[in-house]
Amino acid sequence: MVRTRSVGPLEYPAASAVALGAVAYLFSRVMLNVSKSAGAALFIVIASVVVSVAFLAAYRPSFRGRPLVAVLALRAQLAKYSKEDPYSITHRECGPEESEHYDHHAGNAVNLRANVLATVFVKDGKAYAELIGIKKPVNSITIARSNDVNILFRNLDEKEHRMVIHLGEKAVAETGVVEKLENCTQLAGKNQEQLLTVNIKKPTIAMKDGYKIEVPGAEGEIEVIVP
Amino acid sequence: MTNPTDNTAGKKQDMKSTPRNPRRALAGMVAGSGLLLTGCATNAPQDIFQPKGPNAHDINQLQKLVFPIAGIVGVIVLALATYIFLKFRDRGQAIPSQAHGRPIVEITLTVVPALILSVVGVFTFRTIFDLAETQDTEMVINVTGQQWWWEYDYPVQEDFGINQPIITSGQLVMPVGTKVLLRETSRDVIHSYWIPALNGKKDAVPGRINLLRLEADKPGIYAGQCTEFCGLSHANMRMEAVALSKEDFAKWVANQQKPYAAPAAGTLAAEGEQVFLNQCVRCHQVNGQKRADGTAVIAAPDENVYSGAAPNLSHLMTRNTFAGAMFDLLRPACRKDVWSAKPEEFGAKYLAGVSEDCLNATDLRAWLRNAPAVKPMYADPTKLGPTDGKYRGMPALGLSETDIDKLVAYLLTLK
Amino acid sequence: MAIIERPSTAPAVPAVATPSSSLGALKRPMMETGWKSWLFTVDHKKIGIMYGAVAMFFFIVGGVEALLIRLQLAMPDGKILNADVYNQMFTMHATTMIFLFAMPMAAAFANYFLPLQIGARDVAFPRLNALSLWLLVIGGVVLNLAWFLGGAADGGWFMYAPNSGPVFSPSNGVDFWTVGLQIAGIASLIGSINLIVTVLNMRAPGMTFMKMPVFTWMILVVQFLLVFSLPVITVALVLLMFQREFGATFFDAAAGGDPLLWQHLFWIFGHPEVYVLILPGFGIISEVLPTFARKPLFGYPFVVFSGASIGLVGFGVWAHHMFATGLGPVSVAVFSIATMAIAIPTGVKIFNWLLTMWGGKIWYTTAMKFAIGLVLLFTVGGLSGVTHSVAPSDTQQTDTYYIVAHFHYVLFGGMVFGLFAGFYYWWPKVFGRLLNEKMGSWNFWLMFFGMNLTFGPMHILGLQGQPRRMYIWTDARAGEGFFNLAFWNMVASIGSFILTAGVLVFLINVVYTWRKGPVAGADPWDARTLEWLTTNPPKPHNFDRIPVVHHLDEFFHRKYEEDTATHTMRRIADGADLVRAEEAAADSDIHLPGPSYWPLVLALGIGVLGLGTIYGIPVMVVGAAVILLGSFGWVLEPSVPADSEIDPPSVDGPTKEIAPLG
Repeated sequence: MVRTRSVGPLEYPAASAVALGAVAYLFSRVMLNVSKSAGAALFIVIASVVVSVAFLAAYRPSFRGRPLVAVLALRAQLAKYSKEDPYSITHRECGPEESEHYDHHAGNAVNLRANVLATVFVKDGKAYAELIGIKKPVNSITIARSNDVNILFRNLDEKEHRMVIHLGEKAVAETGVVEKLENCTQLAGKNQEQLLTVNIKKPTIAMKDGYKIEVPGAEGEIEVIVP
Repeated sequence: MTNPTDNTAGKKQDMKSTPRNPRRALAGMVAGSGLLLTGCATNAPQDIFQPKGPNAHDINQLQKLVFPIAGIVGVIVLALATYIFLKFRDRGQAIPSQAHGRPIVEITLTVVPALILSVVGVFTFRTIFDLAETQDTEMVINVTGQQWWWEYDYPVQEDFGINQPIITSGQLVMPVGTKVLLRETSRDVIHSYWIPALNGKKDAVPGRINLLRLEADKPGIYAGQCTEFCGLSHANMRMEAVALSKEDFAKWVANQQKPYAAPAAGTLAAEGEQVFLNQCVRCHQVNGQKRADGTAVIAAPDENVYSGAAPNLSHLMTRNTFAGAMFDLLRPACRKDVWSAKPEEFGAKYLAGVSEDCLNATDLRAWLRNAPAVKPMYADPTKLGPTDGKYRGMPALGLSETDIDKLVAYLLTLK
Repeated sequence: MAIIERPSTAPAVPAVATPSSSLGALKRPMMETGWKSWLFTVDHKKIGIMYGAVAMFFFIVGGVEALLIRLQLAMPDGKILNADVYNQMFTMHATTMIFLFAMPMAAAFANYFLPLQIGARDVAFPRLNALSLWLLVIGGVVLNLAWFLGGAADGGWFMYAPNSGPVFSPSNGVDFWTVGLQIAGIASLIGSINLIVTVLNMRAPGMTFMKMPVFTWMILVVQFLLVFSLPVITVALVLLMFQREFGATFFDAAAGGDPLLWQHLFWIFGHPEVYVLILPGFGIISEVLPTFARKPLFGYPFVVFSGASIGLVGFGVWAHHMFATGLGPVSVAVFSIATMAIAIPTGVKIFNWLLTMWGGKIWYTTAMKFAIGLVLLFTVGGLSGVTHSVAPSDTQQTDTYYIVAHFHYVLFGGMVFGLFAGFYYWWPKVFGRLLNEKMGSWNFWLMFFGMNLTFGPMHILGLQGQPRRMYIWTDARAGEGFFNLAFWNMVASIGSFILTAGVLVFLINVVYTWRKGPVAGADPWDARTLEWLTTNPPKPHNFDRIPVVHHLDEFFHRKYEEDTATHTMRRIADGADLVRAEEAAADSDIHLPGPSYWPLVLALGIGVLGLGTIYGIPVMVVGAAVILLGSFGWVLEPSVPADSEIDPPSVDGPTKEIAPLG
């Protein structure tokens, strides 16, 4: 339980501490057993070996494992959306997932577990929201204008779901095509969480239909009011 | 502790000893932290020993426990110290035995403070969890801080007659005897919400929702101040919480939801509305305002202000302050009348709003003339590089005096 | 390694296979007088004095900033400073006082007295010691350079994100601040490792840990605190630097960052830092009180272990600076209780100091007065600290002047008074002359009185609800009656000038003593610890003969003997005679580290590199080149200089030679 909740598993720091300790110990044994000038020579040899191995490792393609791919994918995604998306830098494609490399437990990040604006649940095929500080579930949440807010989505059902926030429509100037503005979380399996950061710039009174949150495949929608 | 005898005793001790004997002044000061400082009766509006609601009262109960304990311990230590200083002066006695201390004394002196602190700890523990209670919330208000003012919005709550969201700033209006939960956040930097008479501080942190429970016992107006350093005008970021009786609060809610009434054509105020539509709506929303062609006026602070918001001015003249509560909308005499009103008369006086006679035109005009000159802000158009040309605060609009006349006349109609 | 070799009668064995002169072109700066002897010295005593001088300079700078703040706040709607300058002023006042005065002044005492107290001839790494000094100087210069280059840092010394970001603090002040503090941080880190190694490895024979003077103990605890806390602030500063210079978003809520991350990092460093500041003061008065009460410290092991446990628990209470940030009740409760727990070892110390004086024979010198002042003022600060540990009550007090009052009682009362006690106590040790006691008395009473008048009223201001960090306060919220803010603000401002007068008297006393102060004998205070077992001022090699330690308070026990029948102390030797005896039995062939250019060069390189993060890559390249040059010069500097580099060794008596050093 602790393992899944902690940001990084405990073994990594523990193991690296042990490894570092072993290296330091062995190093000191060797260095103390050789003479001063031989020690300097030995040090140079060891240092060059370490540097060359590190250099080779950094340039060997197969060394770039999956974590690196995930990070690069995430970076590309961020770069893509941060440019044109006025609402959010989080996931926006509402179609099939492009990549499997995303955080399936977004709510585990410490800063996101606490103090989100609202948590949207799906349970028994129904969507509802809970606000911290308010006891009963609600179907309407208020978001202050121009404010970055975090909304957590937690799926309690077997089926995978994503949360969608509908942000109105925008007519593309040249073509006249009306484009729907919406933003989605990634898919969340049972008991998984996803996070949506939104910043809504215009109040509800400026919109024809207002804003709302939906979970496709589940009943119920949550009205979003921007005063 | 509002016991007047404590108060005078503390004063006497302090005044007598300060000029002559620093050591006794110090003793007085420490005794003071228990007695003297808690004995304030008619002091600054942000005095933390004057709880006016259950949350602040709970905190004060703890303060009444810990301050006297600290004071008493302080007096004992200082008395012991003074005794030692006088008794063991070098009077030519022999060099004392070089004893290194007695474990039994040491252990006693470790255990006794530990016991005292564990008593304090138990009460602290309980109060922390009591104050964090939110399950019995009766009313929710969203509070959003930004440089350098607070926005309050009231989500729809049928129980209180709030059928459409209410948005206001400068003064937090709440019903008495109601457990009000503030859901705080911030649009830019960290601010901290503090009404000492009602509760302790709670920071407004970007990206987070922090909760603060307020409840006022009696109608009245309670002063507060942003207490987390938030930049240039931190000192000017004030707030006032207004508690109204439930009936008065219902009236206030009804008034806030009253539809917008444009000033009659041909009046100075109507000309003022044109000035407003030319200048102010770039940032300031007045709900229900319409252009000549009938379209709704939507302000665009997100395009002009870095925080993306500017105070919503609907029903401005029902508030008593402007510019982040830095200035009063009421002249000093009228302000004093409201602030010193008895609880039973307070509601009527507050709901009367700002009349032309009571308007603090001097400050309001100075503000409209050149806002950055009276409140430090980042509003110099030549220095907006870091914010991509967006202001932090209100810029100087270059209005003529006649425009200001018109604007003031218009603003007076926003009741 | 620069471990100074133990003196031996055998001639030094010259090291082999090392170059015989420093890079050929540069001659080692061997002069013993003149400015070069200071600039390139690696002598811990000279470095200590320079630390002190630098710290004193910044004390005056920080003091002037404080006076401007008090002038601004003396009246409502002050007009002396505008909001922007005021924000810079209070930011730099705190930064200067903490990083450029209090820490370096403690380092000055530690550098000078720690080797003397443990009977060593220098610190473990003398050249690193010089490097820390010069890095500190450069860090201080970089921090204050911002005043002249578009404005100093304006986010408060706590520099909370996101207010410290490039949007909210557009001047370069915060950039200079992050760079300056990182450089000063390297200085402290190097210094702390140096002192830890010194204490662990270089104690005189017979000096076990439980025979170490308390000052040394407290400095050791402080160095461990620094080693574990400085990396945290460095991480935070690097994150902030990346956020400002390279567009990172660690603290940006919109990008999934968290502003509270900064606060946690800052206070995990910041709270141990409080003890870094205060423990040296505790250490100093733990030497002064026993000396002038003529009694050993009451409960020595308790004082030592309470100091160590303050250091340890100090790492577990950081969130008490964040009770208002919405941590949630469980965290708040835990940190609240932990904070109360730290009051216990602190209380132990106060009681032990008082009981040290109990039954003593108290001699009220100026040093003693300052030490007593510390005990009294720290008691007040400690007790107001207990009121903060009660979290709900703290939510009313935090960020008000009550906090300002609290930490000035703790830091000014606890730290600065300790340092002044140290000045008066150790001045004859360092300079061979006694500071004037009459002026000392004025100095003490003006400071004591001024301090209480300045910071005492701030308790009232805070409890009346005046928040901190406000460039003005308004009459509308000042209240009426005895506790009105206007009166007490004025009192505090007047007090600050009385306090300043006290400091000025000290400076006058220093000049007067330098000119015509009486020459101190070998043992003016009938002192107790090892640093007095040598001449005043000490010779470059500290001890003519490395003492062998048998007692805690070794020097005292060489002078006095307990009559086993009557338990009275009998004087058996005179301090001056003991020192003369040491001189007579001097070791020959004492090995001392030689001066070096390289610490200064390396420090300059790091400074230029730091400025390069603000001024661009070409400057960084220059800095890196100088660093490279410095490192190579350092490494290639011969362990033993050529004969031609050494002053002619004296033919008789103790000789100084250059030892293998690093």
